[in-house]
Amino acid sequence: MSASPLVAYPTDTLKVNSRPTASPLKRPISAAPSSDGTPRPPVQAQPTRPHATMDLAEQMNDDEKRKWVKGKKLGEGTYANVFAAHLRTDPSQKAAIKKIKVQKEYRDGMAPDALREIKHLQELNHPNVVRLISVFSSKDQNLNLVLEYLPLGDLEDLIRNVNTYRYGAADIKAWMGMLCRGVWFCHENFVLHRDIKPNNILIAANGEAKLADFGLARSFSDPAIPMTTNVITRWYRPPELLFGARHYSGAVDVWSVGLVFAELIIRSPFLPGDSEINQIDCICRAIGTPTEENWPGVTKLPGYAVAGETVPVYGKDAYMGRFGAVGADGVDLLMKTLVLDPRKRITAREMLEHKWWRSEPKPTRNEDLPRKTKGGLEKMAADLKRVNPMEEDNRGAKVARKLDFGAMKK
Amino acid sequence: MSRKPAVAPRASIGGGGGGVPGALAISSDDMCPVCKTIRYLNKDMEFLINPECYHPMCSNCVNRLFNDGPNQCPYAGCHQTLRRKGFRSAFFGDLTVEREVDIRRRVAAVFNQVEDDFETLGDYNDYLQQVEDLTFDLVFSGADEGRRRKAEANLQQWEAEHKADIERNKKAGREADETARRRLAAEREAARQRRLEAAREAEEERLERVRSNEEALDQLAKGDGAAKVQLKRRGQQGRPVAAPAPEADGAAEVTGAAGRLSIRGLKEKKRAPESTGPYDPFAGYDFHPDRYKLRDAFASDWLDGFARDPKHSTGGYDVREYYARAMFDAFSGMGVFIGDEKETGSLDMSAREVADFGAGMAAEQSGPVVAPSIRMEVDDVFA
Amino acid sequence: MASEDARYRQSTQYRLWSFSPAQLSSMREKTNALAQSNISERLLSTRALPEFLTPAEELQLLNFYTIDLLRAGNFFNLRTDMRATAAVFLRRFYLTNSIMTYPPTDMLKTCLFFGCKAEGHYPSVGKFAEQFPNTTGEDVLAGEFLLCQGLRFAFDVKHPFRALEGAIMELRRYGNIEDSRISSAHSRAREILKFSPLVTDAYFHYTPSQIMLAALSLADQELAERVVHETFHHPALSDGAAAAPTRENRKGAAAAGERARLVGAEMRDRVLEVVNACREVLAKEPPERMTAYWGTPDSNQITRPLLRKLKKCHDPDRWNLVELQRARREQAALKEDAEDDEGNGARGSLDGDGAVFGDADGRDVKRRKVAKAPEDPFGGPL
Repeated sequence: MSASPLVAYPTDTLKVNSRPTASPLKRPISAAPSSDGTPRPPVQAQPTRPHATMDLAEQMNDDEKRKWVKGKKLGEGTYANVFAAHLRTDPSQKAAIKKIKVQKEYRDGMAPDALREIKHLQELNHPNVVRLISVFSSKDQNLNLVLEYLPLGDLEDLIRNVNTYRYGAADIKAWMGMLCRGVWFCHENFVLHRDIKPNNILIAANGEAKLADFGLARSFSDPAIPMTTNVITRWYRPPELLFGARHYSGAVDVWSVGLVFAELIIRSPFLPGDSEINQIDCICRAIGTPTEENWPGVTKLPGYAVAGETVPVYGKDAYMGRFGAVGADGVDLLMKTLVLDPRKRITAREMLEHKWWRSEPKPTRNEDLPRKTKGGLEKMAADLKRVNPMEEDNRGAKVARKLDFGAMKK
Repeated sequence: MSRKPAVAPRASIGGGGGGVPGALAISSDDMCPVCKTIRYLNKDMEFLINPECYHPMCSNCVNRLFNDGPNQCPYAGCHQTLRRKGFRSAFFGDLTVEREVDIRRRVAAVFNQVEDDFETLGDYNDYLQQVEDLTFDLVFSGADEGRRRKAEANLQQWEAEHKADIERNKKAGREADETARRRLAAEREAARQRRLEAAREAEEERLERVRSNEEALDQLAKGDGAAKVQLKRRGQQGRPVAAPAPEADGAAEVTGAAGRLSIRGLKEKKRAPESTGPYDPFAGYDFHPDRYKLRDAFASDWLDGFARDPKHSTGGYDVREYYARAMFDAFSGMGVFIGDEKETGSLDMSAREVADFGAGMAAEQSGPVVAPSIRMEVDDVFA
Repeated sequence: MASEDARYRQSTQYRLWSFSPAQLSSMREKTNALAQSNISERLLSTRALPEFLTPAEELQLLNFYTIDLLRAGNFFNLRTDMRATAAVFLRRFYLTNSIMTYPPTDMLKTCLFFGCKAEGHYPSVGKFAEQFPNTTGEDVLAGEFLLCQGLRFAFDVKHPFRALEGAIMELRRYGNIEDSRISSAHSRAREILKFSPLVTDAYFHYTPSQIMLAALSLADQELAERVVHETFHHPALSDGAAAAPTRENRKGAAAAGERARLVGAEMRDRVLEVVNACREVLAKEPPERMTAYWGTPDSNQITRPLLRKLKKCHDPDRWNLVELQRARREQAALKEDAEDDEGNGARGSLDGDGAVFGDADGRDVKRRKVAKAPEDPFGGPL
C-alpha cells in the first residue's frame, strides 16, 4: 500500500528548516555576456553586488551560508567545534552548526568520519535520525554541518543519572520504539550505522530520540566486498565482529540495540568488557558460549577464540530475573536481539513487528517522558562534541575509531 | 531633522549642547579644533571627549582649560559645563557610536529586567520595545529636543522609582554570572579529575593484568584448575563506574539488593496516555514496494554461490539484503520524470499527483461526515 | 505515488542534481558567462583578452576529460562504482565551475581519489598519486575542498549497476526466456552502463532505473520492454472505475484506482517514453567509442583546437590549484582563531569589543537576551 507518510513530505519541504531544494536557477545573474559570447567589460557591472566575482558553485555555497546566523560557541573538541545557530529569516528556527576542523592526523584529505557522516545524513530523513539540514563551507575551508537542534542531552545521561531521572517500563518502551525505528529506517535505506550506543542517541526538545553520529556508517556491502571489523564501541560490539567476520549485515546494529535495551533496564552497561578478549568472555558468561551447535561455522571465523568452559546459552528464566521489569514480551524481544548467531538474530523490521509493542503498558508519549529541564545549551555542546573520536571521555569508542582508520588505509 | 540616523549624520551629536555643528571623527582630522595644534607638531597628541557633549579636544587643551576647576566647553555655542574628571579618550573613532554606546549602556543598567520577570513573552517583548523606543529618542532626537528631554525624564523617573528592583536585578545578574563561572570551573575541574582517574585506572588495570597474567602462568605451571581461577578473578575486576560484569549465577538478586535496579520502585507515572489508537511501532512509515515483490528465493547462480559461502553467511551476511537492494534499485525512481517535475517546479510530485494526493486526503477526512456508513468499510480496505 | 519513487525523491541525486535539459544548459551558460567575466577582470591588466570557450565547447572538453578519467580508472583497476562515481563527480563539478577556471587534468585526479573515498575505499593519497606521471599527493588533494563544495556536499551517487542485477533476476524469474539470451543482454547492458551514461548527461536527466532500462533496451529491446510490461501490468483505469460505481465500493475503488495509477497502462507508457528518450542519449556514446573514436585522429581534430584555446583563456589566478590552496589555507589560518573565539560572524567589526561591554559569556541564557541591547549598539536603528 502506498499510504506511507512519505507522500506528505512535499508540504514538509516547504517549511523553513527543510533541506535545500531551491534551484540555483532562480537567481538572476547580473553578469550576462552579450549574445555573441564576447564578454562585456566587467568594470561597468554593479560593483557592489555580493556575488561579484564568484563562480556559480561559490554563489550556491554562499547562499546556503547566508541562511544561517552562527551564534555562541557551545563546545570544542578535537574533531569539531559546535556553535548555536538560527535561521537568518526566522531566529526561532534553531540549529547547531558543527564546524569540522581540518584533521591534522589524517593526511589524506577529508577524514573518513566526516565524509561518511555527510554522505549518509544527506540522504536520510526520518524523525528518529538526526537531521542534517544543510552543509556549507566557510572561507577558511572548514566544513559546517547544520544539524537539527537537540537540546535535551542523550540517553546515556538518562541512564547514568540514577538519582535524577526515574523511569519505568513504559518510558523504556517509548525510547526503544524510537531507537528501533531509526535503525530500521537506516537498514531500509541500506545503511549500517555501526556505532549504536546510548550516548549516540540524542533527545530533541519534544522528547523524540534520534540516532546520531554517522561517522562510522556505511552502505550495505555488495557480495564479495569485505568490510572492516573495527567498528562499534566495544561494549556494544557483536560477537561476529569480535571474531573478525568481514561480511556482516544489519544484525550487527541489532546486537547493539539489544545492549542499549538491556542497559536501559539495569541502568549500567550489560557487557562492559575491558578488552576485546575480555568482551568475548563477558558475552560467553552472560549470554552463552558460541559453539558450532548454536552457531554453525563460528569456529572457522578468523578471530574465533573462547576461553574457559563452554557456558550453555541462557534460557528465559535467567533473563526474567534480571530484566523482568519490561515484562515477558520485553524479555523475549531482548533475547532475540542477543542471539549469538547473526543469521538467527531478529532483524530491525521484525523488531518493530514484535508483540511487545502491543502488550501493556503502552509506550509513554514523548511529552511525558522524563527529560532534562536545565542546562540544555551546554549539554548539547557536550553531546554533539562527543562525536569526536579522539576525546578522552568517549569511553571505548576511541579504540574502534583509531584502529578503523588504519585498517581502511590498506 | 529626521529621526533616521542615515539622514541625520554626525553633525548633530551635540546632544547636551544642542545643535553644535561639526563634531569630528578624530581619526579623520589630526588637528585639535580648539588650539589648532596639528599632529605634525605634536606627535603624542591625544584627543579626549567628555560625555556631556562629546566635543573632542586635545589633552593639552583639557589640562589648560579644566585643571583649575569646572569650565564651559570651548566649542562655540556649546554651553555645557565640563569637569576635568569627566574627560576620557573615546573607544570608537566615530563619536556618534561612542555616544550611542554610552547611552545604551546607561539605559540597560536601569532597565535590567529579564524574561522571567514577565507574565508572558508578549509582555516581555512589549517591554523591550518600550525600552528601545526610549533609547532611540535619547540617541537620535538631536533636533527634537523635547523628545529627548522627555525620554531623559522618563529614564530618571524610572530609575528613582525602581531603585530597589534595579539593584536586585543587577545583583541577580552578577550572581548568575558568578554561578555560571563557577559551574564552568567545576566542570573543567571534574573533567580533569576524570582524565586523571581514567589514566590512573588504566595504569592500575595494566599492572593488574600483568600481575594476573604472571599468576595465571604460575598457576598453569602448577597444574589444573588454573582456568577457573582466572575466570573468577576476571569477574571481579570490572570497572568501578560500571556494574561488575554479570556473574553467570544469581547476579540478578545481588544487583537488585544493591539497589542498582532502580526500575523497581519507580515513581508512578500519572497514568498511561489516553488511548489515541493503537501504538504503531512503524509510526506510519511503510516501505513495502508497490511495483515488485520480494521473494525468498531468487534466480541467480551468482548470489546462490555467496549464500552458500560460509565466509559470507557465518558472519551474518545475508544475500537477501543484497537482493532487496538490487530490486529496490531496479524499480525505484522508475516513475520519476525529472524533466517534467523539475520544469514545473513542483518539489516532489508532478502537479497531477499533488492534486490527487490532496483530494485523497480531503476525501479521507470528510468521509465519515458526508457518508456515515463509510465507517463500516474502513476495516476491509486493507483486507 | 509509489513508495519507491517517493524514496528516490529524497535522495540528493534527485533534490540537488537532477535537471531538465533546459535547466542544465542554462546553468552551463551561466557558469560559462561568469567565468568569462571573472577571467576578463583578472586578465585585463596584463594583456588583451583572449577568445573564450563557448558553453558548447566546454561541454565537448568535459566529455573528452570524462573519457580520460574513465581510462585512468580502468588502468588502475578501480572498482566499477568508484570509477562511475568519480565520473559523475567530474561532470557535476563542471556544471557550476568552468573548465576555464579550474584545470580539468588536475580535477579528474581529485575526482578519482575522492570517488574512491566516497565509495568507502580510503587509499593513501601518496600511493594514489604515484600512479599518475609527475603527480604528488598535494596535487591530488589541492582540489578536494573545491570539489566538495562544487558537489554541494552530496557524496552519494546512485548508479544503475545494481539495478541491472535486479532486473536480470526479475527476467530469470519470468521463467520463459532463454538463459543465454538473458546472459548476453546482461553483459552487453553492463558494458553500456560502464560507459555511455557516464560520458553523457544521462545522470542529470534520468533516474538509475530508467538508465538501466535504456541500457537493457539497447542490448535487447524486447527484454527491457518485457520488464516494463510485467511491472505495469494492471488493467486500464477505466475498467476498474466502471466496475465499482456504488458507494459501498468507493473506498475499494479508490484503492484500485490508486493501484491502477501506480502500475497501470498510463504509467507504463510514460515510462516507456522516458526510457526511449534515455536510450537515444546513450546510443550517441556506445562503449565502442571509448577506443574507436576517442583518442583517434577524428576526435583529436575537434579537441586539439579547443585545448589550444583553453591554454590561452584559462584563469590566471586559479589555474594552479596547489598554490591557490596554499594561499587559501594561509588566509584561513589567520582568520580561524578570531572567528572561533568569538563565534559570531554576523557581528563582524565588533569582534573583540566584548571587553568594553563587560564579558557576557558567562551569563545564563535568559539573561543574555536582555543584555543584548547594550551589547549591540547597532541593533535598534538598523
